[in-house]
Amino acid sequence: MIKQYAGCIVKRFFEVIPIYTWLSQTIQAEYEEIALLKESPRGSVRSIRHKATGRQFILRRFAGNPEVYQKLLEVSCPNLPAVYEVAVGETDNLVLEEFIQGDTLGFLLGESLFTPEETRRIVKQLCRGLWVLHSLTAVHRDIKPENVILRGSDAILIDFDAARLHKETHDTDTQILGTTGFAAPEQYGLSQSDLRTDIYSLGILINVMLTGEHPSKKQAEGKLGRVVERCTHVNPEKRYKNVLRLMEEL
Amino acid sequence: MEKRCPHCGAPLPQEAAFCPHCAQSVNRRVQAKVPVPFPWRKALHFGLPVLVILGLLLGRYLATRPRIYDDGGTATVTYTDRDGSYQLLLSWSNTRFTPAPTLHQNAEENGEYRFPICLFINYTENDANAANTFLGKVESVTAQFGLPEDEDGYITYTDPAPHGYCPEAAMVSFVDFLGRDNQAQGTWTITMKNGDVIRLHQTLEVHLIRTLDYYPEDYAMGTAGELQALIDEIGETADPSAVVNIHLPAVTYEGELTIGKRPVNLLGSTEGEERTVFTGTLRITTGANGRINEISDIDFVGSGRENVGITAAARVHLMGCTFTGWRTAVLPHGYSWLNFRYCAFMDNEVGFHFNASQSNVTHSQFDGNRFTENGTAILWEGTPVDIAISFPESVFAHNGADIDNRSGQSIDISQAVFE
Repeated sequence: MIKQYAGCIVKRFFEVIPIYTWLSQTIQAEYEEIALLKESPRGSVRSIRHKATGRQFILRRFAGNPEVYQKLLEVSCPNLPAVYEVAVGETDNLVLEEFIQGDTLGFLLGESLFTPEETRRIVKQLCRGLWVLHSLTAVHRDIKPENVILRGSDAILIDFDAARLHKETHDTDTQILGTTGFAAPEQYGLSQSDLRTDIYSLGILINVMLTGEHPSKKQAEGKLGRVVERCTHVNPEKRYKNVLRLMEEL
Repeated sequence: MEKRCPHCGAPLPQEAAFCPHCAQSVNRRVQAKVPVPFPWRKALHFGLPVLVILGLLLGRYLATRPRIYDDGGTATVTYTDRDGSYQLLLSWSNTRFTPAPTLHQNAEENGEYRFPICLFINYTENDANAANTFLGKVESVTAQFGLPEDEDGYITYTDPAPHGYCPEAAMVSFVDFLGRDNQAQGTWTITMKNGDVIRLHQTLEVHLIRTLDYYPEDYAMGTAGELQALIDEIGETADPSAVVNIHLPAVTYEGELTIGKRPVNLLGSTEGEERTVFTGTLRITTGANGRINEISDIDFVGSGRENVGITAAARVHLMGCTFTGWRTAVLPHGYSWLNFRYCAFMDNEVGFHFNASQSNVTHSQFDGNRFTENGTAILWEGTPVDIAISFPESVFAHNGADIDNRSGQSIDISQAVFE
């Protein structure tokens, strides 16, 4: 009798309280904030710790489309962070994801450049992550050194706030969300963002890893320089068709 | 619907993927599979030249390795090398450009037969005879029949070799077979010096032909008149495709006889001491369908060297006959061929007078004969045949002339005996 009664209470409780509120309240009660990693008008990123277990997580709060995070709930890839929970609110979204212990490429690039060999190894791993993302029909749209974390020998692509599911019927993207300098031209309304948008950004990333500069300022030399050229071709049709091709080239 | 954390039992929203109470996932995740890239372009970039080189080497290897040409049962094959293109075919001597994939032969039961088959080699470009040129490239030529359907009846090739029977042919082989309803496939294998192998096939189908035997007990044949009447009646009524054997009694036929309507075999008596005797001339004027008239075990006895024992304008084989007292014992003429074996010619003006032309030789060996006290044992006139005539174990004794070869016929006397 008691059990049945308790069940009724639980059911009624969740019928009344949406998951967004429940998750917010639980995190507030059972987790503690470690650091505010990023904050902008569009949202914030915090590292938090579960008090009972000590496990660290990333709590992402942002306004926008959470569809890519929702897709990532179901998959596991060593080059993408595990997304544990996505709660959609009225004004913003909550995403609880894996805390990646490591430094961002942006941080490491402040210290030194990468060798071509290191660059190849890292970018190939990012390609693996992107392959999974692209196979979910998602486009990251914000690939940059700050969104890549190196954990030991693994490179992990993070931050899918700007990511979108690629829809064939769209003529142009509805919003401009990419980071200036790393966003592909078509992302600014020239044509629909597709997976080759990410290939463009990977090309810029390769160039920055090797030279510390945008290719418009300093083009990487050698084979990787040619890879950069092809990645960043203004005509998406002339870029690598997909990340697998880029991996082959690397 | 209630949902609880499988790890800690805490109540969770139905759509929850994570239990924030125990910090554990409660949903299922699929390990994403990333294909291992294969650097096709690189492989092509570096591999293509290697592939091209390997392809060239393979092409060269294939071009130089021995090839097998099989006619697929058509008895003809086109062989091409650096020097030209050749048509090879198996055929009859008079059809140099038409292959004979199937050979039909009619045969009497248990009869022993032999016929020639030719390998022709022509330039495909202009149909000229390429035999000599081509044979210079040939390592070996063999011919063999497979097991015949009736294994009791043999079908065999002799070893192929250039032969005077058909000088145009590159090779000739003689097919020997026993009279049975039978069939076998023959294969000629031509091995080239460069290792190429050419195979030509032909099938021999032997059809048994009906034999009609006439015995003196059943038919009147006691006199020359009766025998002539019987021969004429057979010529009008008997199945034209059948072989006719007339078994003659041991009597003396006085008077001339003519085999003119169809070929028949006259078989003299071999029972007892008495033999069948002809005293008049035997004229053989028909050899319909190329059939051979077999005359055996008859004594032809002339008087005063005045007449001719046998005149033949047809194919005739004589076996075990004797000829005495004729002006000319045996006279083939016209388009004919006559062969005799184990016969005796005694006291004739001329024993054998060959005076035929355009002959199709049916047998070139005249073995086991005896020529004694003839004016001329053999007088060879007419058109010489391309094949050498031989007289193995034939004895020439006390003749005025043993062999008077007026036509220049090639005659092999190496195995003849001159006493």
